[in-house]
Amino acid sequence: MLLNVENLRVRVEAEEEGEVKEILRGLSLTINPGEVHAIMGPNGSGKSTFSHVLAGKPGYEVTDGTVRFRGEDLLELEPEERAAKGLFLAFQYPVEIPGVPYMQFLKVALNSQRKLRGEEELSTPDFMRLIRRETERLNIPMDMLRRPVNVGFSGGEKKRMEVLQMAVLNPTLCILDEIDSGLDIDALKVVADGVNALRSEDRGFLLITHYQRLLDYIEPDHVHVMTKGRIVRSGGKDLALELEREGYAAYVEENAA
Amino acid sequence: MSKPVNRLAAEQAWRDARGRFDAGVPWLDEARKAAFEAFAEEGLPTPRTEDWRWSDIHRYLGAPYPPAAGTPAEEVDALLARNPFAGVDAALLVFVNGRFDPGRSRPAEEEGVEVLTLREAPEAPGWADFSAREDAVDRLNLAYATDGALVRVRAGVRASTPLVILNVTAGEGMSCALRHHVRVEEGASLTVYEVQLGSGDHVANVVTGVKLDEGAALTRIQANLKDEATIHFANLDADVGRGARLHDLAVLVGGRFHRQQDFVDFTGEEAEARVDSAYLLRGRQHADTRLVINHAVPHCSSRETFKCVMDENARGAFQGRIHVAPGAQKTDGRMAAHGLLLGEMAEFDAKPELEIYADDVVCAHGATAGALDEEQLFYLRARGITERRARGMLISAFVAETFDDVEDEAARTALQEIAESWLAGEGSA
Repeated sequence: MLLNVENLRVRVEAEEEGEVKEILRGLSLTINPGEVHAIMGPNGSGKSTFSHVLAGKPGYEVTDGTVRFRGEDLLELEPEERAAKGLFLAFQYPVEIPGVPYMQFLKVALNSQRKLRGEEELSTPDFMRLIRRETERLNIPMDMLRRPVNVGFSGGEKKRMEVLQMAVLNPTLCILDEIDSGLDIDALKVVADGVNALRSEDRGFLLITHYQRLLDYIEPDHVHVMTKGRIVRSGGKDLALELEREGYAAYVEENAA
Repeated sequence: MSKPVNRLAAEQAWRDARGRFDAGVPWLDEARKAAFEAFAEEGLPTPRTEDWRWSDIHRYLGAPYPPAAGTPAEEVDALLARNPFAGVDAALLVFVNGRFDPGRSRPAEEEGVEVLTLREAPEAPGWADFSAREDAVDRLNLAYATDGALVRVRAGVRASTPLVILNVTAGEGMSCALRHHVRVEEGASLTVYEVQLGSGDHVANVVTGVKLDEGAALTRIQANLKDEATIHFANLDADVGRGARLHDLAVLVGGRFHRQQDFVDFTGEEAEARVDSAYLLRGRQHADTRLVINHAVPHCSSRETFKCVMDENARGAFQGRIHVAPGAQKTDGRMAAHGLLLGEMAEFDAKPELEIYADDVVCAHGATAGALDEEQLFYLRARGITERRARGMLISAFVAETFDDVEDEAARTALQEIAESWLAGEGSA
């Protein structure tokens, strides 16, 4: 078992002072190696919060439940430790970092993970070989790596670079938070091809999306419908098509009833 | 203007030293006299003086610091070992407690680059101004200046070897003043690295005068790496002539109190000046910068970027003014001050100002202050970078913007290393 989430309850302090809002209300999910899961749901259902909590973003309070990642208590780990143990979150909005060249960022990230795992750091020539191979595969010009992280990149470029990071860092669980948002169809295909190339029997994927369109290009094994902080229905790929036809309305009402 | 009845101990000590500690150089002692009279008349700024509003020097000058040039100091070699530009192939001028130290210096050997010290000069060079401006630091400096470098690059000479000036001061309860003058003649160029090194509770006052003739270029990089007990006053007084280019960068990690004042006067058209600062402060350090960019003539451009990182209880202050004189059309001036507050008790004050008396100009100013960006921090950590390293990367990125245009790679690396070693001490101070 790669990821096992049991009855996860999470709340955040809302913008208005003192007000606490429960976002995840008893979420359970299991992902095994080699599986691709998709979580779909309307806006505000807690999909992105779930991805943030898994990656360890500060500001969320877990009030109940457990999250085990490769047998370990994930919630006890710092974000960097989670990354080093193989968890990768592709951000819905990759962050711009002026003054930090992309190449340096990738190298520091890779070697920091290796160090945290007790492995030797990668030499500069080995690192450059890896970068050259993966940028070619994803059709990313090396020039982009000389620029500051994500600064001035288009939406498509940012997402493609997230996939590059994933390829370089070689995680075991990839969480893709709205990887399709802001992409035109060509950019989506490039990103999806990059993701598909990384599918393997010991790697798991969690796709978080609002639209079925992404799942035409990255085919999931399991589809989950999430509303109001929990998974209300699970099924195969066909469930996504059904949602596309009929919308989320039925689930929202069913859940509210 | 009314004077405080009770003078600061430091001010009193400086007044009492009148007539003593002559440099023994007739023309210099003559110039010093007038500066002393002006200092005695005006005294030190008070907390009510607008240009000093964020630096209450009464807090720092409560003890006497009588002039004590020439005091021997044992720590000198240990301090010299901290020279960040030791790896740069350069001529070297070492001043120890207000006196030139020929034994530790390495003369400039390039043709067309002339270096004298004040004490060696038979008379005041006509190109250097030995009268004090309307400024307490400058008056006090000239009143007690005992030495300094007189650097002249002859017309058309593009000096290939930079000049490193090390101002070393060590000792307790004393003060030293140095006055350097650099002239770059028509079409000539030079790079100067000026390093402030020191230990002990004392006051150093270093004024650097710069005169750039038509088409001349000067890069001046200043670094303050002093111990936390020191008090430092530093002025830059630059006259930028027609078509000349000045690039000045001040990097500061040291000292208890530092007051930097840069006066840049454009005296010829089509000239450019860039004045940047990168300060990294912690503990109870206080560093204050005042810039006055005087666009007296048309068609000149200036860029000023002030970056200040403050941890713990440190305090950074910036007052900058771009002055555009009547008729100085097509002036292009931009000034920005950015504070990065790491400590909850840290404080940043900034006041960039524009004073414009011409109508066809492009001028802008801005100031920001804030903590590290939490989104950026999380993004780096989510990629496996430890929190400490991620913070370091973001802090470096914040100040490094001012290093990017330093052409000499060895010098740029030296500056990055200053920032790195400051970061290595993060949290341990």
